[in-house]
Amino acid sequence: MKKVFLFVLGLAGTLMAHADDYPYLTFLDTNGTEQSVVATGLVITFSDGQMNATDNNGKVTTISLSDLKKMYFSSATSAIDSTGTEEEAKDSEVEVFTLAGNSLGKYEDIRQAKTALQKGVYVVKRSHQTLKIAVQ
Amino acid sequence: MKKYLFMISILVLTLTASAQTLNVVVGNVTYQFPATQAGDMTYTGSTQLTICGKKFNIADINKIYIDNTTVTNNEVAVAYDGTSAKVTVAGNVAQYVSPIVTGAHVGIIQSNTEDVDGNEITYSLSGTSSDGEFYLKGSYKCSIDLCGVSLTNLTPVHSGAALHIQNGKRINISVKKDTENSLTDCTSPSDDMAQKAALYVKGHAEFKGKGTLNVYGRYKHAIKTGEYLTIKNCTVNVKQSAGDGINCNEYFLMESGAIALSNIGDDGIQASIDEDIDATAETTDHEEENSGNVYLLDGTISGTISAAAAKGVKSDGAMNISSGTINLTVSGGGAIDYTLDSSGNPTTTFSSTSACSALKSDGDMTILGGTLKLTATGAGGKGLSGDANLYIKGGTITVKTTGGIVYYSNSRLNTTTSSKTTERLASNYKSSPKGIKFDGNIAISGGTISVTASYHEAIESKGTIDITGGTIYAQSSDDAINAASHLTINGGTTCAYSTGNDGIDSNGNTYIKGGIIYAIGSSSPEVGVDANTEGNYKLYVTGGTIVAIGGLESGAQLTQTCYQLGSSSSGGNRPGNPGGSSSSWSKNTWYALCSNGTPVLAFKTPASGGSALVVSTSGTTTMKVSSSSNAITVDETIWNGMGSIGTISGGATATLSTYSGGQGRF
Repeated sequence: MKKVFLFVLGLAGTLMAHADDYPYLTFLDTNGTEQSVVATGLVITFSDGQMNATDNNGKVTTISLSDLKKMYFSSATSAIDSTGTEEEAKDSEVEVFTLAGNSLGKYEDIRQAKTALQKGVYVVKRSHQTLKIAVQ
Repeated sequence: MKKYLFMISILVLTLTASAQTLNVVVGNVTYQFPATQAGDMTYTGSTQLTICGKKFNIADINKIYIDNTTVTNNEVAVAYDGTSAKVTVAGNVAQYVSPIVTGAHVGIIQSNTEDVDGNEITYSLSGTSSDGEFYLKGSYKCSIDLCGVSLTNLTPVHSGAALHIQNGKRINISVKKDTENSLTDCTSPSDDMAQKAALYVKGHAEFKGKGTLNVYGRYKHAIKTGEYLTIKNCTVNVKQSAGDGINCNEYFLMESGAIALSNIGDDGIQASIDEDIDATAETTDHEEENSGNVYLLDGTISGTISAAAAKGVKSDGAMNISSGTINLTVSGGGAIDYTLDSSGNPTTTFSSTSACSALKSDGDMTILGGTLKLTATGAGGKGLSGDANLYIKGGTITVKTTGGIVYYSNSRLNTTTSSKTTERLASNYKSSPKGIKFDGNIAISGGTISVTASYHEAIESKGTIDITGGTIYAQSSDDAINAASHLTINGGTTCAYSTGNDGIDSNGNTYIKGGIIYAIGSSSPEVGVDANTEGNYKLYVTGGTIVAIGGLESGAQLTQTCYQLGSSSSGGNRPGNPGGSSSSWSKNTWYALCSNGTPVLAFKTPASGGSALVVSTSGTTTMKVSSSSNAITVDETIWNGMGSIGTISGGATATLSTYSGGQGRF
């Protein structure tokens, strides 16, 4: 019985080791904005000064190479689905939250929000988009 | 229960066999970074991406993709496929490896100067190309795994070799088990390629692994290393070489494995002293050794070498044979060596003749064991030869030479089977087909040795010969055993059979002190055992069990009493009456020599020989002769069936009379 227990423990340990796979690849731009995409099956290509990341479902995330600072594997997206970019949100009304989820109010657009906010990292929501921004 | 546990473990292992990997594809090269190692992958400007220290030009990247490939740290895999090759680089060594891929010609610059993550880089080669190569330049040790790779270099890009390691460090060449690999070089490289071999390593190469490697050196050597070369376990077939089969500097060491040599344009295996550094003797663990030595510890070397004056195995230094099997035939004829000019280039001025030898050492040769079968069939060809001393302490050695003598006359090479044609020529004007010939001393203390030479001495030393053990059979048309200086037999069992000269001869003193000796000389003036009486030297008999057909050199000092077969009135073989009127022995007949009534040696007489039959033992000496009614029987034989020291029985008493020397020149 002891042998069986040790055997199963060993296999479980092996299974846990495999859990080190990262679900996301996160891109950080020069403004401090992070965007995460699902890592499995991801393909990245470069053209016309852009980085294009295509996930398993064919959805493409595009970031200008001149804005791109680094990318890294991550276990979480900090609970934020990277469904939009600052560029997309620039002319829309946005609501700003702390990372803890407390609302800090609404602003006409993301530029106004950045001007009003103190230095820090915030979550910005606009219609069906959510992104994380860093105010420097 | 066991079955279920097994099924569960297979399932779990399958689930865990993959690992998340980021693949960066640049042309035919894929760099594989495990997700756990990738860390921050930084973009610089719009042009560069750096991962694990490897800087990529973004414009060169075809794509990046994530999959579940398992990456083996420190590995670079090269998969050849016809006219192309794919290179895969493990992420942890990516910053140190720069591949250049042109079709199936792969060149790699390796930049690390120490271990990476505690280990060296391993290059795994597989696949086939009829026009490809692998070229590596670096300055740190590495391993090359041959995993079923077949390369022919038709149109070189980096080098004319199929495998060229331009790295002066230790290179492991691992011939993977159950794989067959083939390397073929270019036949006509460009002048700037300096092609030296089909497989070339600038540094020192250690061949290992239980696979098979076939090498074709169509332009020069098949395998060449700039420093030492060792072989363990693997099978290396040199299928062709314009130059040597295997050529190395510093030393050659074979621990095990097999080397087969065929279609060789020069020597089979050659070890040279590296002239760019100081020469050394053998060192402890061969550290920093530059001796030109050959060490054959075990394994098998076989093949036929047919080039003129070529050697099967040649050492600039010593040759040490411990065990293993060597089966070599050298069939080429002689050649002319010319003098060299100040640049080391040959002139048209004759220097000396040269001939083949199965094993040749410039330094001492020591044989401790092993089974050696050495055959030389061309003119002047030898079995064992050396510029220094020979020590035989064990092993089973069979040497056979059948070629004639090659000599230089009338501005060309000539051959003859008569030593009288060349006996007045200087030594550098002729090469004689001796079985064993050493310029230094020969010492035999063990082993079973059989040497036959059709047209010259079987065993010759230009120094002394000392026999203290072993079982030796030497047969030749000239002296069977000859020393240019003194010759001493103090043990062992020796049969020296000459069909045209002395059985045993020296140009100094000959000392028979012990052992069992059966010497057969041809007709007068030749004798069974000779010394250089003309030069005021002498034969000394102080011990031993001795049979000498043809008698002993006259003037011998016979401290141990000697006898001759037949009565003293038989008319033959007395001082003052050499070559007596009748033979006292019967040809092809067994005799038994007894000491104190006990048979100590049975011997079979030859078809012809000198007329005297002289015997001596340390005790009371008697002899028996075999007849149809009272045959001598033996349980086992030595000396090619001409003697026995086993169980001896039968025979009728033969008459002996006193003997004081003769059937030689007086």
